[in-house]
Amino acid sequence: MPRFLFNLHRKGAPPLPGQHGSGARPRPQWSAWLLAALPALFLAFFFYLPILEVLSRGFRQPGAGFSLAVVRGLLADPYIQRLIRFTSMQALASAGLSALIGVPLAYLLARKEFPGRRLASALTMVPFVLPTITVALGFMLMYGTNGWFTRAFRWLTGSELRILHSLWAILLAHAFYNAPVVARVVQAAWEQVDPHLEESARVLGATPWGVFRDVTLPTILPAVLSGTALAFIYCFMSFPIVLALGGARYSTLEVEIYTQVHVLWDYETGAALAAIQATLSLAFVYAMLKLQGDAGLAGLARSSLRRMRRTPVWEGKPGAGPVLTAAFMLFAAVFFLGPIAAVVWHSLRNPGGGLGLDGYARILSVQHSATVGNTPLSAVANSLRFGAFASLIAVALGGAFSYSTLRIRLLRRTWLEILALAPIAVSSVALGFGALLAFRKEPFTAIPPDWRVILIHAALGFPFVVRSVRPVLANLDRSLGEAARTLGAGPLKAFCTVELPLIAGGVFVALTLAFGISVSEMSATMMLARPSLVTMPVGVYRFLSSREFQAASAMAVLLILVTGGAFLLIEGASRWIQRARDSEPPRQNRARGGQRG
Amino acid sequence: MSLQLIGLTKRFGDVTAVDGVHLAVDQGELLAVVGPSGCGKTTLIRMIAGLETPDEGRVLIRGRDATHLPPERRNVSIVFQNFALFPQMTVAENVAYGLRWRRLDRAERQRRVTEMLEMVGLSSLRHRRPHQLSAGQQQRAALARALAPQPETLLLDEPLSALDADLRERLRLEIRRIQKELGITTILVTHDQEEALGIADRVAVMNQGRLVQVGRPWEVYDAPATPFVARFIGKGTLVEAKAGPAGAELKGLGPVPAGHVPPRFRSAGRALVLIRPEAVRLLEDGGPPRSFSNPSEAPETPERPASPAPGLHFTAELEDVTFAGQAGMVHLRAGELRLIAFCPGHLTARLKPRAGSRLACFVPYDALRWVDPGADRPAAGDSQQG
Repeated sequence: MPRFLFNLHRKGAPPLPGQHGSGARPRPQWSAWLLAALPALFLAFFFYLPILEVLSRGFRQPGAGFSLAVVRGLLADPYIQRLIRFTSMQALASAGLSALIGVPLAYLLARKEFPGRRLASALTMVPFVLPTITVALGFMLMYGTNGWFTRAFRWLTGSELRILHSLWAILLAHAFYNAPVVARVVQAAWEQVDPHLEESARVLGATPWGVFRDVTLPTILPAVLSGTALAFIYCFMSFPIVLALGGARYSTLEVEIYTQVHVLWDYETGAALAAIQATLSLAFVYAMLKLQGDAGLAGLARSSLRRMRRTPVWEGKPGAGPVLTAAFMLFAAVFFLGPIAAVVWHSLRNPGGGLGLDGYARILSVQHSATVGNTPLSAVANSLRFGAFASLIAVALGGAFSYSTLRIRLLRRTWLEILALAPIAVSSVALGFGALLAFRKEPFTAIPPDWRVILIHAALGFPFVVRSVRPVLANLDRSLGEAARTLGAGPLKAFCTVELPLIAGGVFVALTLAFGISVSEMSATMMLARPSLVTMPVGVYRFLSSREFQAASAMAVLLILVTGGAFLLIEGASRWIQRARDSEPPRQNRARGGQRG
Repeated sequence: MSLQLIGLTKRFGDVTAVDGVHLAVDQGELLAVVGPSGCGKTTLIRMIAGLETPDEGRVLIRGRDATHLPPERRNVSIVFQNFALFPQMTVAENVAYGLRWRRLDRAERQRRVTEMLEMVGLSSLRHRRPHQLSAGQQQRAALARALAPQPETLLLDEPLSALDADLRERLRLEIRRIQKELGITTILVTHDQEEALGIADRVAVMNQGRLVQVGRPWEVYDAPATPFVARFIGKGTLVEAKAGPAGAELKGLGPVPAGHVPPRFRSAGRALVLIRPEAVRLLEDGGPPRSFSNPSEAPETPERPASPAPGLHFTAELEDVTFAGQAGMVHLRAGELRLIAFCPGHLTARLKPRAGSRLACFVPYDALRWVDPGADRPAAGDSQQG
């Protein structure tokens, strides 16, 4: 059939000799197609089916077919209107604040040299794995009435600071989370600005400010915009921060969906709200991708082998510049490290006064806790188990997806990539709710409850795996694998002996991200799992809700250690692999080392 | 017959990359496939290697149909333009890679690796990694790796284009030496005609997915089958000509008597005439026809009267002279026509100050090469070109 279609291109061409010979029919590559089919089936069942379940339920009237009645009714409700307005406005404000902090941070990381710059640069990766609930907890402990920041402020100025129960708490917590995201995106663009462009402008007579305005800014602006847009989407879908810090006064669509489903048991309203939410966030993501596609300037201006030299922060003319830089660095240190420090401090502080490890004893106990809904230790065990399985599944399937969409010509389609990245764009509350609905039907009822969570976590990690593996694989010289094939290695042998060792770094990053996402995930878990199936973030939230700050902090510290530890471990391992791969053979190595020393 | 391609065709969407190629390569032959970039030559050898599946046609290796054999079962090695050395392995490990999948004992494997590295002169660098080698050394390592499993056919995909000119020339000869030594059937793909003409037994010129001419290097150079080959291979000028039973008229250069026009062009009406730089002789202006450009008739011996064969006489303006070592290039303009003539290097200095003056030129009739202007168009009944 395809041969017939192709032949239409050559109208009236006489048959060539040999054209009808034997063996001219291409043999299908079954293994390759299987590789493509597995991730497709996985996404279809554990992402698209639940989302469709939510959408179809939202756009339907009980007892009737497709109908916009419920959605229209909700959209006419002034409360819901206020809710949507507030959700958008807080996301916009949070994204703006993130950019305000993130862009100077990017400048510092891209252009300045200071002790700890590499560490700081690596730490901008942390928000991807730092559980949101721990950030919320940190903010309560830092900016609360008795938080150390509030007390320090009172001691310094004598006036009262009210952050915690205001909108500012939500905005700042979002900025904490998203400013590094903006910084990371902008830093990458800033480092790639061709120094020759700026030097040309200087030679042509532009002032430093003129150079920034005319050369640097236009080049990094697309990155600033896309970073901010990303922050906006994350804040629009943010759940744990608003749930923990918003209190009774501030609620967003996400929190409202959760309340409708889990507190009021109103599935119809919940589904309609989730449908509205999913539609809006998908529209935002589409708009963002569209904008990114149009902003092609940055791509045009990066083709220099030279890198801009970083200037040490203490270098330069004395004046406003260094003072501003120092002030910003101090602010960044307090802003980013303060909440974490507060969590660590509180995990060691006994309620009765004094320091102790009681909190840790509590969370590692095997006794049933009414607050947690199970034994706290089971929360730890669950998190680790879910993380391990979910990350392995996500990496295997995300890797298969990346490989097949790069190597099978028919699958090299942008829309396929967008479909695979969609889980980033859909709120995990909506996904969790969808899974809750979908898994009540045959044959999904056969999936045990803990595996439901694992599969949904894997679906959430999938796009991050694709984002970290696919570029590495795409940059890998195809002729390496082909050379291996012509030298006698079969497809699998060629992949394992030549290509896999070269993309190991990307695979490790993917593993970390997927593990971190699973371990710190709270929204979908809370939507999907029975109350007795607890993970660490859920445990933190339950302790927090019952004002057991010490236990909450101890659990949060453990959570940070697990995610951060996994992150550092894998980061270190991938560096080590990189070094082992690039290193010279032992003999020459020593000789060279001697010269360097 | 070591390798045979029958009606090989490959399309990518609407683009026909390789279009019905028939080709037979003899055992131990070095065949160069030349053509401009994008002409389909790389796709052609990728199909031979099994890295692309042809839409139509067959690949026969030693008479066996290999069209749908996977690459690892063809015993065909390839050297890529970027060498594709495995960066995580040493030179020796790279060379040993192809032996890993064959049933050989350790000692035999080691022996072969050592032998290969000796052959390409890399024995002392066997423990280096690819990024620690110069481009030339990388090229040799890639060649050693490709040859180690003793393939039946060696494919070279622009193997020298990543190197600088001097090295390119040296390695070109070395590849030829090794190829002869092993007697291995080799297909060299290149866009560099000098490379192709220099070392190949036969040259296949490719354009827009088709093979336009296959022949020994001198044949292709001296008797181009189509205007494309005439333009692509070597230097020279294509002059339009009107031909008839009474002879031909070269646009801007004058008539050619019927006896010097090949019979089939006399009836064709139209023809293109290729004038190679070595066909153009420069004569002292006004004086007797002494040649500037032919060393055997060098003006150092002005007494010797030149007795040129019958040919075209015309005057041309000397536009520029470029010097390139042993030979110089003289750029001439006769009316609308631009011509190039060779002259011995030591004469360029004498000609240079005369830029702008007019020179008498002479081209013997038998140095004219007649080309069918319609030969580039695909055969009738094929709508490929519309």
